[in-house]
Amino acid sequence: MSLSPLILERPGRWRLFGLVCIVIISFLPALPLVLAATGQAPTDLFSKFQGFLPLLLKSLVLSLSGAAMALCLGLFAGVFYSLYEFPGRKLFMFLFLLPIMVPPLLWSVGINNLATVPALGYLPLHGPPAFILVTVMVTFPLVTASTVAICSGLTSSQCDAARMASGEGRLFMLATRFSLPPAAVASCLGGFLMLSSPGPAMGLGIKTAVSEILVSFSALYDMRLAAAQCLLLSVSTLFIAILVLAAAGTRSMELLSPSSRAVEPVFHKRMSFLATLYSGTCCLLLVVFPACGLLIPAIAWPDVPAMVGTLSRTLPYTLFYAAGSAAVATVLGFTMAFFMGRFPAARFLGTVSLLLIFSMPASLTALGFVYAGARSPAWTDFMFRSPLAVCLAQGVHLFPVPAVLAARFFGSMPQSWPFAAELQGISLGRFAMRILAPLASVFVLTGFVLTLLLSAADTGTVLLIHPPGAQNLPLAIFTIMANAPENQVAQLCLLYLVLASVLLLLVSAVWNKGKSWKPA
Amino acid sequence: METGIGFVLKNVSLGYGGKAVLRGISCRITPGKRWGILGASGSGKSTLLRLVAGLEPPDNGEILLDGRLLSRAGRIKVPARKRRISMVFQDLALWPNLTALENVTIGLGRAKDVKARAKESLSMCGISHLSNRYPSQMSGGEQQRLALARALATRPSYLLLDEPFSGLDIEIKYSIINKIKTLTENTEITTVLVSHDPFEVSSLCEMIILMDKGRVVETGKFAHLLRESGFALLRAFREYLAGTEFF
Repeated sequence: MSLSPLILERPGRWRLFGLVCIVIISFLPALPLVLAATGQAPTDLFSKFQGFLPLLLKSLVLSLSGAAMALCLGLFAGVFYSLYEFPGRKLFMFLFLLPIMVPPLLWSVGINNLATVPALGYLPLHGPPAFILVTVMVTFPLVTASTVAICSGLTSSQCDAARMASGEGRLFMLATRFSLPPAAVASCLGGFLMLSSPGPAMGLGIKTAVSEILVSFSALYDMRLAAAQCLLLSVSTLFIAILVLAAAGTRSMELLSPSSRAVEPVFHKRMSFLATLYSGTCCLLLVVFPACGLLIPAIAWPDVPAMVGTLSRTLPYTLFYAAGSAAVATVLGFTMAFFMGRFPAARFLGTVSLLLIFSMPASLTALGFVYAGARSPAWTDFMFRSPLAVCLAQGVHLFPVPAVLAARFFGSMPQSWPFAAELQGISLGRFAMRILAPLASVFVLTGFVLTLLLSAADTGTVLLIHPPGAQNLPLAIFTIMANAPENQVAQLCLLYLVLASVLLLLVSAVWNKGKSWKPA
Repeated sequence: METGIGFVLKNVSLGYGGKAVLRGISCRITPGKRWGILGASGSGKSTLLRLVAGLEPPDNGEILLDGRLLSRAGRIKVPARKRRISMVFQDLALWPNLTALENVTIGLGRAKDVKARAKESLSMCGISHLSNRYPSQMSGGEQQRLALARALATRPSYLLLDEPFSGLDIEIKYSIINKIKTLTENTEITTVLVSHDPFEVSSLCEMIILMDKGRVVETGKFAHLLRESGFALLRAFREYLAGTEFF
């Protein structure tokens, strides 16, 4: 007996059950560690936390300051992109997205290199200000992309009505206000991404909470302390995430809205000029300027043999970790989106879960794998102590990215499709293979490549659980950063930047092609 | 199973989130005729059609076809695919990644004559020359004909039309209505058109079910009800026809 396509449109408790199962799967790796960490005596913990708490506070202040600045900048960039046609519009978006697709560590290397240029001595390119700048760079793409996604929920007629009633400036402000709550959630997530990334802080020579966790784990060999510190970091991020989500309310669900009636950008002499000026300035400050820090030393003193040697040694693992994580994340993400369907309650619950999962530090899951690996029988090594462990750990952390894309796909699918398929006698399998799979392939591929880039950019997880001798490229950069010559580090960073750009170009090409598959 | 009875709905009710959409509907759709379900927006017409098609079960009541129980409270006994029903949806539900021919063949299983049947169906609707085009490469009227061809290809006993003419200009609309008339007369397919537009219903239907706020108000011959009924939509239509000086 074949299943009916009507299952796609059927509500029920099984959807909630499926959602809960996936959320449990994503938290499962960290669970034994969390239990072990919370089982310690409070007095013992308090004495150990004395040095950690100020660091945590400092990290939170720095990350959230950067996130707030990125929110201010990215929100306007996203609204300009959504509402107006201007020269270089698509190129600017491509460049805006680049910083989040490479490890933040690269940008800290670039800024460090710029700080040594005597002519730039007057700029605050050291310590905390530099860390805030990197946070702005990494968070800005998230805010911009989410603003564009939200604005795609606006229709052309809504915009025309606002234009005719109160003019272009008022429309711009209305669109900004409309996008603010979900963009604030996105900026918060960007801040958390930096909070849990050890690379930039170490690259810039400042101590943060996550670098302290790494010290506890790899220098003091105190697994429980590292776990407790990581747990405290997670509780802090979750608390802030819940506050922001509560403030954003159901508007955060707009991230999953379909964009079939999206507003078309228009050319407006004054606003298009402003958009070009604004986007160009943001691009110069947040992408071109830090990239120069990588470009100048790499070109001035090239060391090709060293670069080729490192690349050939790390490329297989870089690809394996990234592709493996992306595959795990894509499968989990699409399963989650299937359970969410188009039902408001399931979508709300799913959105909140996804945002909370994404706001958890990746190092918590990674430490969970280390902890479980140390206490599991030898036959489980393939799961906890092999390159596969990296894929699983990153996959369960990053699956919210493909899940959001998949939820947008299921949301934009007309309700009448499964109905028509059922009446035509088409089975669920045939419907999925002949109709859904070809149409979803754009979303699957985009989700896969985005997760691939994000997982490759996450040095923290790889650092904690990679097997000996199985380094990827970002980790190799992280390892040689302190000792190798500046040009060698810079050219590896630049190489990574080029590879990521090529992949990002592929995503945008696929995405643009996919736009032709709109419902008739 | 007795033929000739058609669909019988007994005290059918349905609600979403505690809000009643259909309230104790009882009516009969006899075979071999062209039926219309007329009512204002939100009166429950499309929901009623979905229940008849078997896409949803009712909360209460029973739906029978020729004496055979199809659905009862919370349960679909005979799935939609086994009811010999086809439907043309308001948004047409054409699959954008399939050509016109593939849109039709996909529902015909793996039989040998699938292509021939699909081509025959496209030809009946006058779009056989467009069989290799994608829906996005067709005009609104051509898409409408494709949706009709797809519905007819499965050789249904009942053809359900859920406001499929909205958004079409009057020339295309009435050419398609005439096409449906001719095709259903030749093939003895029972047609059920859901619409809020008395013009469309008057052009196609002989029998009519009038719906208001989830209830069936009146049932009968269209010509008779047009003269006698106090139903707001029909009264307005009657007054309009009386006042028109075009002819």
